[in-house]
This record gives sequence, C-alpha cells and structure tokens, in this order.
Amino acid sequence: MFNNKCVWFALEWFVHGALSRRLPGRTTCSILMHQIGCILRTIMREIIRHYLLDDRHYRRAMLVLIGVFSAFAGVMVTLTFTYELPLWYPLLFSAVASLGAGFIAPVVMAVVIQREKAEGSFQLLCALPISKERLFFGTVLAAVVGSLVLWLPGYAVAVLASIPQGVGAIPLVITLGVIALSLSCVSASFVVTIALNTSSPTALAYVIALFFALPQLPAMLLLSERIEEKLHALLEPHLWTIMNLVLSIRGQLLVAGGLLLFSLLILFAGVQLFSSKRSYV
Amino acid sequence: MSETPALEIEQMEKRYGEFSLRVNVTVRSGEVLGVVGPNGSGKTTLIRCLLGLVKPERGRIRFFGLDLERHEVAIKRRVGFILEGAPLFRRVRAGDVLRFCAGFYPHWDWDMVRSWMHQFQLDGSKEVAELSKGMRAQLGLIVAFGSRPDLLLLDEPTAGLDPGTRRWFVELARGALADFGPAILLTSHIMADVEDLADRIAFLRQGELLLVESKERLCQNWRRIRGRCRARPRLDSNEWVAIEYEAICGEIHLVTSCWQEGLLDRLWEAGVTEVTVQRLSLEEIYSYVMRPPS
Repeated sequence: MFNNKCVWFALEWFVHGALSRRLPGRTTCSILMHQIGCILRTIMREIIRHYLLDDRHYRRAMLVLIGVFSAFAGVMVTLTFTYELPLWYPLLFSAVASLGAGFIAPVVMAVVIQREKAEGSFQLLCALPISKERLFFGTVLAAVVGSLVLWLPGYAVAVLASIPQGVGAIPLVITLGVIALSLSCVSASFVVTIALNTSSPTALAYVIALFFALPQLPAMLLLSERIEEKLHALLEPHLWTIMNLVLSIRGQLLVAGGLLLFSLLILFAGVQLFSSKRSYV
Repeated sequence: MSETPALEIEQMEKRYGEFSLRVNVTVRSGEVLGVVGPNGSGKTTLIRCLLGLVKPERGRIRFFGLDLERHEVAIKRRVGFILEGAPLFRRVRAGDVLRFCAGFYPHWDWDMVRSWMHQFQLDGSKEVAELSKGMRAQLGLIVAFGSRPDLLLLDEPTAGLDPGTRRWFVELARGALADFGPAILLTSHIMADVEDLADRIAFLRQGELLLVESKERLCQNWRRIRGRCRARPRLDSNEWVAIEYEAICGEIHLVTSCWQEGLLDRLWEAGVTEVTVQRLSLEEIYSYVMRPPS
C-alpha cells in the first residue's frame, strides 16, 4: 500500500511554502531549501533535541564516544605530521572510525528507544500531538545527526592528513566522506526502524547483528581462492577504470545514490510498519 | 459551554485474547466522568484507545466532533493526559520534560506552569528519576494541565499517592475546572478519588460498562432497606439489587437501585415490617454494582 500520509506530509510543506512564502528574487532552489529547512526544523526542534541533548544516557554515551574518537584522531594526526606516515594509514583509520561512528550512534539510539519502551515513556511520546510519521522521521534524523557528530573526529583525520599530499588527495577524501555518510544513513534508517518497530531488545540485537553480518558473507566468498582468481582475472584489465569511476564524481554519486536509495527503501517500509502498528505500548 | 460533546465513544471494542472491552459513552463539554472498576477491568485500555496508543477492533471515537483516526494531531493538541504510573522520561531533567512537551501544544501556559512549579517546589534541574513518587505525579499533572486542554484523560492519577497528595490533586483539578473548565475523563479503582470530582460515574467490570449515571441520581436511586419478616418474602427481583434474609433472627436487608415510595407498600404487602430506609455511599454502591452476578 502506498503511504499517502507521508507523501502529503512532504507535499503539504513544499506547496504551502512555495505559495505563501515566495518572495521576489527567490529561486526555486532557495524555496526548496527553505522548505527542507522548515521540515527539518519542525521535526528536529523537539525530537532530535530530546534524544541528543535531553536524554542523559544518550548524551553521555555520545560524549564518551566523541572523546575516544577524538583522542585516537589526535594521536593519528600527530603521528601523520611527525613521522610523515603514508596517506593510506590515516585514511584507513578515518574509514574505520567513520564506519564505526555510522554504526555505533544508531545502536546507542536504539538502546535508548528500547529503554524508553521498557520504562513506559515511549507511550508518552506516542500520545503527544505529533503524527507517527514525524515521530519516525524525527527519530531517524536524530540517529543520523548523532552519526554525523561522531563521524567528524575521524573524518577530520582524513582531511588533515590529505593537506600535505596536495590537491591530488582531495577526491579520495571526498569519496571517503560521501561513502561514510551514505552508510551512516543506511545503518541509521535500518537500526532505528527496527528499534521503533520491535519491543524486544533480544529481537533487536539479533536483527542488528544479522544486518551487519550479512555484508560479510560476500566478502568471505570473495576470499575463497577460486573466486578470488576469477575476480582477479576479471577485474585486472578494468582495475584503473573501476578506480577512476569510484574516484570520479559520477561514481561517487552512483554509490551514494544507491546507498541513499536503499536507506529510503528501508525508511519507506519502516514508516509503513510504524504508522500501521496496532499498539504502541 | 459548547454543545458538541468533548468525547463520543460509539460501540468501541478492543480485544486482548479472551478479554474484550466494549464501551459506548459520551462526555459532555465541561463534564467530569469518573470511570471506576477493579484492576483488569479495562480502564487503562480505554485511555490507551482514546490516546491512539492501541487501536480498537471496531467502533468510532470522536473528540470535539472530530474523528480520532483522521484528526489525531489536531485532537491531541486539545487533550491533556496522564498515563498509568505517570511514565515521564526518567533520564531527562524535569525542566526539559516540560520544555519538550510545551513544544507540541499551541496554548501552553508557561506562567501557570512556572507558578505551579514554584508552588510545588519542583526543581526543574533535577532528573525525573531523582524525583520522589509524589513529585513525579505533580510533574505529570503539570504536563497534563499545562496546555490548558479542553479535555483531560487521567488514568489513575492518584494511584500510590499518600492522602495529602491525593487531596492536593483534587484541589488542583477543581482549580482547573474553575479556571478553564475542561471536560475530564478520570479512571480509578478507588471510589473516593472520583467521588469528589465526578459529575457522572461509569462502572466498568471485565470490559463491560455496567452503569453510567450521574452522582446525584446514584444517591437518589440507591437505598438500603432493613426490616423484619417471619419468612423469606416473595419480591420482584428486577426491583432489588440484593436481598439478604437471615431466617434465625427474621431480619431482611434489601438494596434497590430504583428507589421510590411505592416499594415500601410492596414490602408491606409481602409481610416486611419495622422498615428503615438508608442512603448508600458511593463506595457501597460501587461494591454492589461490582458484585459478580449470583
């Protein structure tokens, strides 16, 4: 079933703003940005602030994680500049830190949601005058913002380490950022969707573990010798083409677009499930 | 006062396994309806259905003439509530809970909220988990009343509170009724809680609304009659809620829910003498209504 509510929710904001707030000299793009800003502000103002700033558990967990990531980032930057480490060292660290941040922040959020469900305050959230769709998107957005905050220290390492390499390293750093951000969106949408739609922490743990374990399956298959040989033979002539594609704007758009599309699909399924639930208790 | 009822529940049914809650009731604007019933009678399920936390299998719920399914957000902006056990965000500061809730209501009255916070000596910088049970209940009430709602849904607001805090709750609710006159649907398994506030009382047992009656009519219609007779008299069972006859001393105790002078004549004809008639307290009426049918 197509969720009319979600589409109307988005259209309502856009059309209403386009008709009522259009000022001379404002382009469609600026109106669109303004509308996106309106939606984000309305949802963010309360739900995101509630999870990111008001909730002590989430706030403290994030502060600890930011501290840990920043400390590692500081060490890596110092090593990079003092011992002139090759670029792939800090890049590898940055990639791992970014991916870690993208996965950890939504999981912390999922734990907070489950705690709220267990103590009963999630009922209060659902009983407040906010549509289920907004509550859902606000919570996902809060997870994404949490990932971003956690992602910054790791990414800062990549940016700082690329400075001595000059302009040549810029595409690689951008690629890293785009892919890490897209993966954050995927993991935030998946983890929060599951956390909002299930009331069992055990089920949540199993599903999240399965979600993160599944991508390892093809990686393990690739490691088997026969497949590796075939893949090597297949890719070798095109290796530079693939590398160039990944580093090009087109390739990045393709990967990021694919990941964002995947997270949108998860969100679409998630909001359908959440808004059609028969019980929020 | 508006003619449109604050709340209309038409043929609502919610099932949980073998348990089935069936409710058909209206709350007029400015009226206080007390729903009483023992634990497990469906009071909390009723409030959850009204707040959209659980969806009933059938029936229609309208607030201020608006359908709950279609206008959920618009309705909830005009409805204050307390959930069972007042579950507030335990790891959030009291002041932040109020600020968070205020963001969803267009008519949030910060002046009133601040004055109550001051009056109750509630520390906004403390986390909800650090507050005492009474203070949490007070905070829950401030959240419910802070938006100056047109309708309040209160699920066991005084459960587990000491008599002083209960008294305080009644005074607060009376003050709100005098100030902005909301309709109130109040559930409790303690008759005394609703006795002070309710205009009408609904008796709920095992998911069924047995009786919905105004407090005045309950007091007028229910009587206990004591008398004496030599043998168990033959009486119309439709007129009597309870008939207890003690053959040894020849005493008879009767309870009726449709009191009228004519009943005395019929008792006289049946051979009952030395008749005395007493009014029943709401607590006693509750115990008779909740008696399982013999």
